[in-house]
Amino acid sequence: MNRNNGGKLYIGWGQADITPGEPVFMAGQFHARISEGVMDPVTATALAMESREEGFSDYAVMVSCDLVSIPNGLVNCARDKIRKKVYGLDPERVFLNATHTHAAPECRTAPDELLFLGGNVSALCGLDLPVMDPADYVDFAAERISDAVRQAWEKRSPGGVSFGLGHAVVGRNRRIVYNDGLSRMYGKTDDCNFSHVEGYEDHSLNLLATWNEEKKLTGLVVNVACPAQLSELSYLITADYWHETRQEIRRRFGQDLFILPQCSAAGDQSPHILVDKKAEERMWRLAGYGESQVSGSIVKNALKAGVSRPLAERLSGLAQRRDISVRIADAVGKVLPLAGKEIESEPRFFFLHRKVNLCRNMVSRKDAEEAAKEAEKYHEEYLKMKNELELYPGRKDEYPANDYLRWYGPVTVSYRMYRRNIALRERYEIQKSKPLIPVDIYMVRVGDMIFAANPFECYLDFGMQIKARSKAVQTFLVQLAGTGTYLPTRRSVEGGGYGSVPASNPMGYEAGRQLVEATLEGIDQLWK
Amino acid sequence: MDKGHRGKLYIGWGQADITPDEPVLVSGQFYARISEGIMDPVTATALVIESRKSGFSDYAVMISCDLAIIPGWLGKTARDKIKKLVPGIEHDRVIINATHTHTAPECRTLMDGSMVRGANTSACGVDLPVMNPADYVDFAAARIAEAVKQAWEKREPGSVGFGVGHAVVGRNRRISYRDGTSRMYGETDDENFSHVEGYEDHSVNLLGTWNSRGDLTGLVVNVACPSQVSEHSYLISGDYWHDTRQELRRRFGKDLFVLSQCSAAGDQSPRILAGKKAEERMWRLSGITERQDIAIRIADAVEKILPLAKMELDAEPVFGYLHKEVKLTRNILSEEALQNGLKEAEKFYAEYDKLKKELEANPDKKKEPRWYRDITRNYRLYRWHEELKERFESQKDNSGIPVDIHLLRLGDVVFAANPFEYYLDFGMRIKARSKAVQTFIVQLAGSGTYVPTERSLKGGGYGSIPTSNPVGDEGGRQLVEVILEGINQLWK
Repeated sequence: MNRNNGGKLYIGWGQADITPGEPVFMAGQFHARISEGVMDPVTATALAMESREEGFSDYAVMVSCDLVSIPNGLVNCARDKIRKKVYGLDPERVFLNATHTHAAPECRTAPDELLFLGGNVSALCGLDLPVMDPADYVDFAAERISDAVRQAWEKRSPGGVSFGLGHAVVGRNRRIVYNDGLSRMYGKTDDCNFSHVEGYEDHSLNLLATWNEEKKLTGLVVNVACPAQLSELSYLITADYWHETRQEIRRRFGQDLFILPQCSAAGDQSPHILVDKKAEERMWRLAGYGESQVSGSIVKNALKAGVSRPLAERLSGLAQRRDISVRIADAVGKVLPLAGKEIESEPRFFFLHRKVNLCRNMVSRKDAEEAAKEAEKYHEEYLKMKNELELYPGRKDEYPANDYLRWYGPVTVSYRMYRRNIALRERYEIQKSKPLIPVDIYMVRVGDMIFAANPFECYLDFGMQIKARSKAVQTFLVQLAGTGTYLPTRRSVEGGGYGSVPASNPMGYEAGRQLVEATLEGIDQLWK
Repeated sequence: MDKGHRGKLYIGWGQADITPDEPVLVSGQFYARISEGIMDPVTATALVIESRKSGFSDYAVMISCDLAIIPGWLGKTARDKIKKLVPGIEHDRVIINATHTHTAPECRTLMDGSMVRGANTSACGVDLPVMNPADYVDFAAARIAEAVKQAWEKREPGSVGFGVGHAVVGRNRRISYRDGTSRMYGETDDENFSHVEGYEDHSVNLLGTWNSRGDLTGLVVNVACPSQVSEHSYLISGDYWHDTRQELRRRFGKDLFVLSQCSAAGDQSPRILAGKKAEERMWRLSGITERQDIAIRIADAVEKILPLAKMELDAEPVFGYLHKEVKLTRNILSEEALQNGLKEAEKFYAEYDKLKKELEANPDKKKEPRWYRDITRNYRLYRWHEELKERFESQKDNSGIPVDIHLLRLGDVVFAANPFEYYLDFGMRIKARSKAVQTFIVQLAGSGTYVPTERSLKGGGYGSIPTSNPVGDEGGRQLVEVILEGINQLWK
């Protein structure tokens, strides 16, 4: 790593629309979804920061994408394009993060990735469906991302940064524990056996603002511990609550503002409210969020696509999206004037990329054998359904359009459950020769704050460990700067349930602890 | 009456200053503190709500006090005085809750039983030049009764509106380490820090009252956080509720009444245990204190809710009131826990005795500022452990610990009051299963002490050890069910 004591800061922003022009697979559920339209655009936002001092330069480019995850294939493709079209920029200093919207195009293409990090849903769905090939979409998105990076890189100009901390209640722990000690993701809480919400929540909002030489606000990095997945069942492409949040922030602070969303450690979080929802729903009704959306074009689009009105609203989660956008914008509005008091144009700046080897979550022989049996069961089920579809094509019309599953849904669930179990079985073999998994982590120190990125859906407790022990005044954890999947804590594994079972966790809490230490070592290095 | 009925609402507010004008013992820490002045006044705020329908009337009185707890004797004295001043008000229609400020006068007296809800550690082991707590209780109770009288006499037709908002105020204060143990206020910059043990509840439950002219007259503000930012101060203070009342009055009217409630928050406090340096920087940049920051957060939430709450004012909400005395299973103290406790008692007594003898040998020590701190700490820790003996004896009687709970239904809202420092998970269970659209849980409507959850007992540490818990997880669960049964009864 190069040393730098605070050169002059150059800042550039870029943005690209990565909405596909044709139907695609949507990523985020076990059942396949083919996009049936666009609720709002999915985008990529790039921020280039360079620190120059006497001929020496250190820099990094952060790109946030309205996607569910950032598979390696997408990163490699984007970096190849950046290498070709952006002069003077080392593509290895560009890292991408996903907001985890569950209504964006599928970007996973290479089956080997499935085994590598144990992603549990294949891009393939076991049926020949009329969609854009995910590989083609990746090429398209990578092209647009590289354009955004070029734009940011080429437009960089002297500027300053400032940062601050606010609060917005957005992320909710989604793991519910019952009296028998078992946990369930999205478990019911109006159950007489409901014991407690398993883990913690982090309602801090970390904000970094960039300013040009005239002290005009040019962009914001907004970091909250919550994935963007209110519209997670939608068949319409959408950036989820970040869409409304960008709109609201721009309405308040400038139409040309760039906004780069990040999700802090939040593998066990979601925006879904599991306790006291009726009180919140009443407030949305009183605030008119529901009504304004019903008459709005967004739900109309959903209705046009054949979705019933109640389902259109439920699928979209629009009232809550609007509420979240106001909460985040309120926090930004509170932080900005204070952050603006300490704009730094020559902060200490360092970039660090580390490859760390994390230990695998060993699959037991028993789990592997069970997975093999499950795989067989799902494969049979898949073949049966597929054959029936071939024999009786009319079945396709038997699925009502207002169901959340389309005709191809059930068969794809079986196929993907088959793949998920196969992957677990294969992990059992691979772990014998490859007990460690290499993982990329990225860090950017800017003055007293730091960005620390990892590829996981990292459970929040790990994030708290890092934040509590970090030398930075503010630590912006960036999860899903990679292909993701759950990194569970010990207490969650004890409760089990989706997200904290062997099939969900190619890496377990041991690896989580290693990640915490590796991240903290990196931070220490940047504070030496 | 159990079931609710609709009637025309009459609402009255009153307030009293309960700040003592002479030095008192300040309640909230093991070591004694003699008040050295007033940072800001401690107050009692009373809200009377009456529902009238064709000659029939039903009512409730809610009182919030800037005190650490509401010991039995204070509760009884205040209710006696209220009934004397306003003959129509019955004891069981009065809910008195504490905000749990740790900088208010000591209210535990010799008249308070020591065992029912936790050890009485008010005695100090040395003579201190302070107002007798019993005299303070008499003074405070009289003022509280005056506030109720004022509220009762001023009641007039009005309506209520309610809503939920959010403010990050309460923080779970139990830190778990990799070895599975927990520690209240444990360090988080420790390499063995694993996680924050429990949950937090950042909802702000708000009930507003409006008069018939449409003016906002008062607010009930309920957050899951005790008022203990200034908990080590030697100055009397209402803690963050003082700043919050000021901020709310600045924004919504200087004559506004503000009744503060603490939701289930036995494992919560406003103390920030992870990420504090970022918060401190924001306080520096904004030129405000932590207490003012909390005040602004709560006022921001109230400001967001109020216009929405006002859209659905109800002048004739369904009104129902329920007072129950329930018996909760005792947390049985094992012989081993008793013996361990008594060993500790012996240790603290020896230390106390040593300090006392030193003091007798060198009376000049009393000229040193706060000379009494160590000796009182040792004495009270001795008493805290020693009282286990009495608890051990009482548990032979299998009848359980009697506890008062009060429930007030107002339309789609319910207030559910209990006497404990009730861990937050229990509150979440009640909220999740309640039939009300909003459930205002009111803890410390009584003499308090911790009711821990099963997961906290696994971690141990102050607050979740036998000595801290005359009522344990089992009693906590029973309380959840009893409150839910009560709510169901009010929704029949």
